Amino acid sequence: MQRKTRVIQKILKKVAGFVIAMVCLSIIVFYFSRLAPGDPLQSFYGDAVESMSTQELLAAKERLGLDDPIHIQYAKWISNTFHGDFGMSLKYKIPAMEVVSPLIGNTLILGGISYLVVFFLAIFLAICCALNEDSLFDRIICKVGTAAYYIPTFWLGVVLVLVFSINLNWLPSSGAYDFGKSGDVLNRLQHLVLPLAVMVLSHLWYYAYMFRNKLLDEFRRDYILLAKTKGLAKVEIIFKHCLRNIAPTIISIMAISTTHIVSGTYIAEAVFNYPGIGALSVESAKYHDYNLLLLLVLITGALVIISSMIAQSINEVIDPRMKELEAVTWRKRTKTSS
Amino acid sequence: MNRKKIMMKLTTIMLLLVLSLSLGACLGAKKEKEDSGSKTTKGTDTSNTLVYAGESEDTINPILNNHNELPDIIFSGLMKYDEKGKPIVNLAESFEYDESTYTYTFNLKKDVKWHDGEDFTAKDVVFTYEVLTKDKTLSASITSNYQDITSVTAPDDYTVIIKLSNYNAAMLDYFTMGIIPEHLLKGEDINTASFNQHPVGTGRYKFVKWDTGGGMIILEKNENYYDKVPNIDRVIYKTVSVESTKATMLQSGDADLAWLNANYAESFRGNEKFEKFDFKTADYRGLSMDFETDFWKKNKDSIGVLNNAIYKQDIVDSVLKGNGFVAYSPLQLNAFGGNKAADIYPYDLNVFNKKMAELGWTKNKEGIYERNGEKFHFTIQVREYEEERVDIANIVSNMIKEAGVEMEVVLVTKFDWDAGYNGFLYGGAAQFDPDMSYASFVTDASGNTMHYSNAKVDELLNKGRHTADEDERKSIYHEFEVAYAEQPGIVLVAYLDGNYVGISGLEGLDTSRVLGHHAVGVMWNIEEWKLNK
Amino acid sequence: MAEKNEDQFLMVHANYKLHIPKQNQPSMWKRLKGKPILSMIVLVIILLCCLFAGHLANHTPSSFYLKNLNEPPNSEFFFGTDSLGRDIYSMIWYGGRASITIGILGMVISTVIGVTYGCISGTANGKVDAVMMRAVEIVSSIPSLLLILLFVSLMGKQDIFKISLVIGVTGWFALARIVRSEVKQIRNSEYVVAARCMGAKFPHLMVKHLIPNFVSAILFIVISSISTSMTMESTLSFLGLGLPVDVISWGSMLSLANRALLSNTWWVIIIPGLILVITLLVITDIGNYFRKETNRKASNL
Repeated sequence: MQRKTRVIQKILKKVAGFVIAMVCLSIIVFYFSRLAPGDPLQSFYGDAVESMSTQELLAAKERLGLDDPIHIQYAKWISNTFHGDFGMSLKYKIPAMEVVSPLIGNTLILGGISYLVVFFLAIFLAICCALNEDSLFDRIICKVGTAAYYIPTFWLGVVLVLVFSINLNWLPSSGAYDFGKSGDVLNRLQHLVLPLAVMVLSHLWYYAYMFRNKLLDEFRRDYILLAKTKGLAKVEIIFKHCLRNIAPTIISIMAISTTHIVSGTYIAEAVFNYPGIGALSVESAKYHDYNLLLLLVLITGALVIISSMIAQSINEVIDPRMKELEAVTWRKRTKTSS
Repeated sequence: MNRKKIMMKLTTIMLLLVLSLSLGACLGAKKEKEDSGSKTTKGTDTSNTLVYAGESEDTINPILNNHNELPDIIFSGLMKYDEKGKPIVNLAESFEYDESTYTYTFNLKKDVKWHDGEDFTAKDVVFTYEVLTKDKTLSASITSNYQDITSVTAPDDYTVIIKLSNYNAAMLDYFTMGIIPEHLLKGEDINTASFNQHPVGTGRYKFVKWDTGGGMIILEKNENYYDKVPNIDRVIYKTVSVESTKATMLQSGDADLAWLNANYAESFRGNEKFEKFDFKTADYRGLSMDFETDFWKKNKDSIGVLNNAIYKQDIVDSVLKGNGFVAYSPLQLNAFGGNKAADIYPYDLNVFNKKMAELGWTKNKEGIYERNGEKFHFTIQVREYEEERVDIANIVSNMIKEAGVEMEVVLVTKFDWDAGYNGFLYGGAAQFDPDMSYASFVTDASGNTMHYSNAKVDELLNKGRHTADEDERKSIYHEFEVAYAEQPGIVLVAYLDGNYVGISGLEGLDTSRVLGHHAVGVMWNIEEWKLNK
Repeated sequence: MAEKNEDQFLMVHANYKLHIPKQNQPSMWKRLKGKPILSMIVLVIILLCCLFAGHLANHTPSSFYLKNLNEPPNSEFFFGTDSLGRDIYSMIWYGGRASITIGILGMVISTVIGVTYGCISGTANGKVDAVMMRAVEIVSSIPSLLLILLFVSLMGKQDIFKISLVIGVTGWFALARIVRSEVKQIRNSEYVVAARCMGAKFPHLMVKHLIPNFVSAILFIVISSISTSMTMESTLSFLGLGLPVDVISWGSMLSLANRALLSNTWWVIIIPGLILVITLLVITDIGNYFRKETNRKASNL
């Protein structure tokens, strides 16, 4: 019984933390975006703003709710959000939610798949390289991986298009699917190959190399010697001990990297003309489309905060040292686990 | 034991994470699946489907965006342009003009239907022109064209009477404006109506679906069109925001037709899988100066002389790869313009230096001209995604720097009129009636964003608008060209060709038409096009 | 070994000096073995070339040689010209100045902020730490590109310092988190506790005890932040938000390369890309060496 209430308490705490974080985030972005120079009215009315009289301008501002002081604008905005109204997109002149909703799926597919592929491959590569530290294999992979990581994403994307779409004509160069084939998984996959390749190549090594180094540090720990004397096989040691020990690092890196990969979709979306919210967010920032920008930032923010909360919970389970947040003060010393 | 439990927990959480991600992805895909299942009744055979790679769109409404292809083929106006750019009847069966009362009487075609099946009547025409003349919140770059209209009335369902305050030679051109349906838009704010994303028109193609997730707008031919029904069943307009992507889409077979800048278009020349259509356009580029800024308030006498320091032919040869020519007048390609006498600024640095000395400029130590202690230094804003304009600005800046004038190029995402830049890299066109230049050059007109003001130009353009005789108009506009050249607001640089590239199976594009700004108007005869993929 | 044995049988007399065995004097080659000499040489060459760009360049980098469009590399234009007749060779050296400056400035700014923040957060008590980390979490949940866009639109006209500042200020979150988690693991070590007991001030503690212990963990990230800053600059150029058009950088050259892809002028595409990637690789290689230097223990596996 008591345990149950503790769990509920914990969950409530997390939810409260989440809500507070989201509100903070929205305040930051709301104020920040309105500090930027540029006239939102012009995004909405185009050049008509030039020939409007002062009265018409005031009326227009009132209609768009731009005449109030910022804190009132914010209060209005936040009370509307509880009714699911995120305001009008100034550029598209329709509710922001309507602009975003058809594109979320595309980005989730691209971002989600590349996220999984990146981490799967990163851990795999890290183990391969760490096992063969300083061998020819390790060195080659290190060099190639680093080179791939540093090649600017947009440049890599265009080269891939040139080779695979234009010269070889194997894969489509743009879009998320062909006309009338939005439900065709194969067609979608074909369109995904190149953007995915760019996403994976440009993110993979950053993580793989971090994991590799983490593993190498781990190999220098004393418990490895003990495990070896116990007669455990290399693979067993790696999977049973090393990986578990570096899991907190991997998981917290995975949590941070959600933003990294979400913002990485922008370049891929731009180069391959893949409709998604990555490209949309940058566009909305460029055009001072406040309401759209806020909504997009909140969506990505929610994603990241949730994933980091999950990571935190996992880490607490694996490594009690991480619980210090709650109980341990400066002087108390915790026992090292394992 | 404990360890095992932990591992179990760990794997469960990981699995949940993975599951939620893929679930989200699947949901996205599933939703679209249902969508497409219900909408695409004609199947997905694309052999007679034209895929056009165009700019990104936010609204489709002839009144809001008059620089685009889509409103042109979804909507239709009282009049339309023939291949020479002359207005002929379209939704109107015939019209009469009463010279004494400046009144047009249009007899409308009888069995025209909106794409949603409603009857098209005179009410829609009245509604459209009332929006154009009375709605204050409208994008105003075109409303000046309709300011002569005093009343629009419909005595019956198929007659419209439009009264003007004065004779307006270009009025028939302006009657080409697409008519919007009253039954869908009455009482709505035209700027935000959801109609703008779900347009219903009377034109050759009807709007089917705006598939934002697929980045395309799908149109099907209007079987009930009142004139020739197009050959091509379906047009897919793919929205593309990066210029080079349009070229790669053509190359990889993801698009059948696109407008490319000269640099990209040139890479398709000689490729037998593609055909390059070189349209002439009345679209020119120049440096348009903002007369509200302090620098030009003080120095507006020194704009024209800059022309002498710019070797425009080099710009045409390099940036445009020869697809264009040197500009000297904003009406150069217009049927009423092209007065060679307005070409008064040859490239000659000696002349430039002499004129600058006459204007009172002297070179300082760094070789930059100064007058009254102020350097000849001005800023020009250019939108960063328009490669051609950025290149032109950079080269011009380089050329006049050598002559002793500093022009600073500032890249912006959208033009910022409040930041105090001294000008911007202008693009514009007057492909139809020369009166199209009225809105840009007359003092305080709706398209005159740079506040150019010249009494003689005002007078001539007003006279041209209200004169009926063609020869007389021609001489008026010729005079305007000279007057403008003497005291220009825009340093004209070059006219651009409209380089369209299509797959070789596409036939019927007619390059006899002079196209407009951004080479708009290519689809003017789309009903004649044929596609053999 | 044999020689050594022989030496031992030398006669010792009154003028005997302390014997110094020959083989203990390492040769130049041995001393350099294992060090990234090649990378250092390449980096020094590139740096020198950029430094002396004015002497190396045989054309004005900002000029358009409109009579020499799209020329392949030749004796006049060593690396060819682009579609507007700009000399790639001269641009590379001038462009390098801007890019390398941005890389280093961006790295310094983000490292200083990230390390300080991470150390404070890692050593502070639970509540402060939680707030600080939550703040980072919130801000870093905005995609970095968006954050940069927001900053760029606030700043108005760009220059090299502003762009490095924007890149640096938006690039320290990951570093701060890693520093913090490293600090949390070592903050309870005896030597740290001892130092604190003796009344060490925070800056002293940070520089003397904390930083040396997590350098190996962050060095790769710090060094790669030079490269990330340089790549970020090129991405911004690609988005049209980079340096003003009259300042040449490798980033702006690469985004020009993007336009040349269809016209088969390989030198416009390959050469700037190659130089950028080589520079970044060389920097990372050197970073890698230092990482190993601090962690020479043999693997137990």
